[in-house]
Amino acid sequence: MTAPLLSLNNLGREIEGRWLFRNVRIDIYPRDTIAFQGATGSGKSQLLRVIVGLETPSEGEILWNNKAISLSEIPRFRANCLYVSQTPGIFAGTVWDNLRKPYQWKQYEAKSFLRPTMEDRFKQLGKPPEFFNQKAVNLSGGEKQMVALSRAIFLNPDFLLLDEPTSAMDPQTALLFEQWLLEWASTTGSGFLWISHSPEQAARIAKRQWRLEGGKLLES
Amino acid sequence: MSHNYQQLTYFDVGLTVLVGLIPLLLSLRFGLRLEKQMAMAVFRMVVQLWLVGMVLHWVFALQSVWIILGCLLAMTLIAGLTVPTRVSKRYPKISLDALVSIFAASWSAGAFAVLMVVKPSPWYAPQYLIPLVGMILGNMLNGFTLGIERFLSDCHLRRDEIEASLALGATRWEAGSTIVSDAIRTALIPIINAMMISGLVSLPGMLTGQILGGVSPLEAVKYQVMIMILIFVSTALGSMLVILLAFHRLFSPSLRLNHALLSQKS
Repeated sequence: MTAPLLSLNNLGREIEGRWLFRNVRIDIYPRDTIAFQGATGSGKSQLLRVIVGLETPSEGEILWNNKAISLSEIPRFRANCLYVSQTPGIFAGTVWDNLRKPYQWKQYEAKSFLRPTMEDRFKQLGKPPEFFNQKAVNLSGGEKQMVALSRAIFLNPDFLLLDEPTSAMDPQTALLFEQWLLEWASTTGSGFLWISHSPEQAARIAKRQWRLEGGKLLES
Repeated sequence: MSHNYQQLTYFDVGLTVLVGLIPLLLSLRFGLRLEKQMAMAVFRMVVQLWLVGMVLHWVFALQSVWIILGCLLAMTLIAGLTVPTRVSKRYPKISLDALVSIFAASWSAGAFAVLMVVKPSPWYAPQYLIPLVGMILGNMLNGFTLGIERFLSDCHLRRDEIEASLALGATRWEAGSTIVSDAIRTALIPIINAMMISGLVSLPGMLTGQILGGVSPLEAVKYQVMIMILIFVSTALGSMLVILLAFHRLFSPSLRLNHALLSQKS
């Protein structure tokens, strides 16, 4: 049996006296494809932020490959279990600058920036070469999500934690991204956890279904 | 004091204050409703300067090193505690960080000026030490405040960008260095501009003061160059220090942006 990639051990998060979730105890395996649903404000995004350490858990711990994550391992952990937020983090400069930026960091110094592969992929997504030279700040919400999600997939992590990554895209583009993600997961042996409000999308993309209700994580 | 220094009498000063009433009358005539503020500003300026004059007169007469250092400490404290009141975002230890940075930058620049350049006897001669440190403090405060304001508002406005970097595996310096350098650049713009136009648009304060005091313009320029460089260096060092201290408070060792620490100015 494969060892879990991530183990959430009694994870809980309390904000201003209210428990968003508590006693979350679940394992994530390397090739898992998980759809994560729940009402708005139920704490799904907070759970993802706690997993990647952008928020502190009020109780419990996260194990990565069965070990606690030390301070020095955090960048490597995050590069391996990569989180993409719903509001895409866009840097100053062009689309190219945004795609290239992580390759300037220590964590990715061994990785090469594959411009032709990116151009091919964006062509399939309906974006001409001129798109790369546009100022990223002027892009639409959906286009910003395209850049942020593509940047994450190109970095080829072990696992992606995605917070409604296609919510601002048109249905056709969202579908193209779903196909790309499934293809990426199966060819690289990677997995993803995807927060989605669409039951149809959840059924299309994932084998495991999570639901956060009343602060409890349920799996169906 | 030079032989050609023209002393003002209390009558001369009173005459000027009377001229200061002209804008007040114009405000009344045009319904600007600024009379109260104008009168209060003129009143405060006169009283504050007179009090400072009396305190300095007393300090100069006593020539006590402890009283002089006490005055400098009070000036530094006021400068440091003013900063948090002038920024739109704050974090819990901003007063301490501002105070430490202003103290380190202004006192080291002041020490350099009196111990290495001016070399008065005694070293703490108040007619040198107090105006020099006072000018450094007063002039560095503008850039310093702009710098820390820019850093804190960027931590708020560019939160998505910072967190995206951290989530992609950036170290805290990789995630925050652009914001740090933008803030330092903002802090240095006023003093760079001031040096660029120095003497072209207006004569700087120290130069004007010394020329009015009867010193030859070429001698006055020497002091002006020294003080401009000291303001430049202390603004750069002070703002870098406070921005780096704020960076370490807001970007935690666990590579998290402590956004919850930022609060709006009440």
